[in-house]
Amino acid sequence: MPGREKGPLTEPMYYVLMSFLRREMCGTEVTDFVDRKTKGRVRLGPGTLYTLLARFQDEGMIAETSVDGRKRTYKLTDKGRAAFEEELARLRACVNDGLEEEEAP
Amino acid sequence: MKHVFKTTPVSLFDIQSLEGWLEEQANEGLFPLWVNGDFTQFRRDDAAPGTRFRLEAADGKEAPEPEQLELYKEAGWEYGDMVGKAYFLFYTTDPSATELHTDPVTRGLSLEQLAGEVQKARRKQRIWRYVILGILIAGGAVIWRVDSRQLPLYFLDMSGSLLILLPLFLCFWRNDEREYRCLLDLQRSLELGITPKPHRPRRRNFWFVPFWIAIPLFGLIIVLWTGRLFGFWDYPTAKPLEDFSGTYVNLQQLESEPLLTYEDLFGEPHHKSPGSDWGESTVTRKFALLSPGYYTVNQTLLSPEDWESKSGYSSSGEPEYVYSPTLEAVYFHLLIPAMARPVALAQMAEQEAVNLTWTYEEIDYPGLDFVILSRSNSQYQGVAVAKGGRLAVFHYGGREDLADHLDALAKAVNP
Repeated sequence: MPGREKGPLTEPMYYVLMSFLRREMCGTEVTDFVDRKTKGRVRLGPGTLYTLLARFQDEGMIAETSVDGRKRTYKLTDKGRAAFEEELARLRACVNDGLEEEEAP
Repeated sequence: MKHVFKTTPVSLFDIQSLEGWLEEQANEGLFPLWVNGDFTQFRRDDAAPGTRFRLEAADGKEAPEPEQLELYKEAGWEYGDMVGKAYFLFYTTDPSATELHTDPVTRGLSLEQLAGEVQKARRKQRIWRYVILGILIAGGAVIWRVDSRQLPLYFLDMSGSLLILLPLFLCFWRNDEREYRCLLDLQRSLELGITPKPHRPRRRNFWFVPFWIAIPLFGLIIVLWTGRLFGFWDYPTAKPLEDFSGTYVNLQQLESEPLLTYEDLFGEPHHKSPGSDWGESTVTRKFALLSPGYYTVNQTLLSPEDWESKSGYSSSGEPEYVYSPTLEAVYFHLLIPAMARPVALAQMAEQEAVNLTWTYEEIDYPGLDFVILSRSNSQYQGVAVAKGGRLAVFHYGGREDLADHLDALAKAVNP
């Protein structure tokens, strides 16, 4: 899975995991969350979202909580939270490194 | 509602080209109803420029999941149909609809299972293709190495089949490898996060042999060859020579004394013995892949005057022996002129009578490609003459020396 074996999470992967941090969500809500959070900077295509939901579920990073007609709702698992935090730490380190260099005399 | 059929000019494994081609068709008012590797059926609509088509890997499913349909629909994408057994086809006419995939790595992941299946299929296919290639090469080597005189004509026919089958087989292989590579390379580069370059639709090459042409062709070869092996394509009966208008050498031309047919001599038709053509003058048309419509002319004449020779035939037993020369000739028009010599040798060997010792001699004759003379330690002789793809092989039993009659024999191939 990207982010673990194959390198860092991509931006859409990172934001999809982020969307489940506070509450359970269905796919449409994830799209809205990412759009709102990034102010439209990160566009989440339905193919990308559907693939990520399926992959995250296969990898045990999210779990299905309910099915309502065509809508499925998911929650973040501990494994998913760990993956998100690991990526967050990596991004923090990246930002800190950049800031340090930028602020250096 | 008008429907239009078209051959699918791009590979199903070349996702971008197929999407691009469908979009071109939509610009011309053709909406796809179903698509497979060979054909596509369209519904004629108003032109819908700007329609986007996208293929999503089906991953063994027969229809998209309700969740997938819902997510795509909310983003402005409609489901069309399955493409082959590999993809679901989605489309949108809304220019503002978000692209299905906005992350190349995730797009690569979405094709991972399909790429794995393709890789597995490719491995399996390679194994049996190497086996078939080995058989074809071994078959070719056998035909090449074995003394032509040991090969009956139908076996030589196989070499003609090989000439068709081998290039066809290699074309298939090459095309399949190119198509597989197209998908595998795309999937690999996407998974590595490399966005594919804008893609110009790639059409199949002119040497691409569609399955629906190759399979009937292959079947036809098998049917023709099997029929050839068992003589199904031969004309069922030998016809009297007097009704035949094709080129042949008349036995009388070779003889220095006037001879008669059996019927003329004895006043009644010859009672044919099973498996023997003696006593009759007939022509039989036959079929070979190398020479469709070749024919065999058998002639027997009898001398009313020669009572000395003890090598003739008696209709009523001793002592009515007569001189009775025979000429069996096979006339080919070969599709592959280069095969004339092996066919000639094979045919001469086929006509050799057992328990005789045969010697072969090749002699020059102006205007002909070759002349091969075979002699036995009895009255039997053979001659093969060839010019271009025309070949005549004579098997003669009589007193004359065929070397003295080459002018007459040459006319069979060089009229």
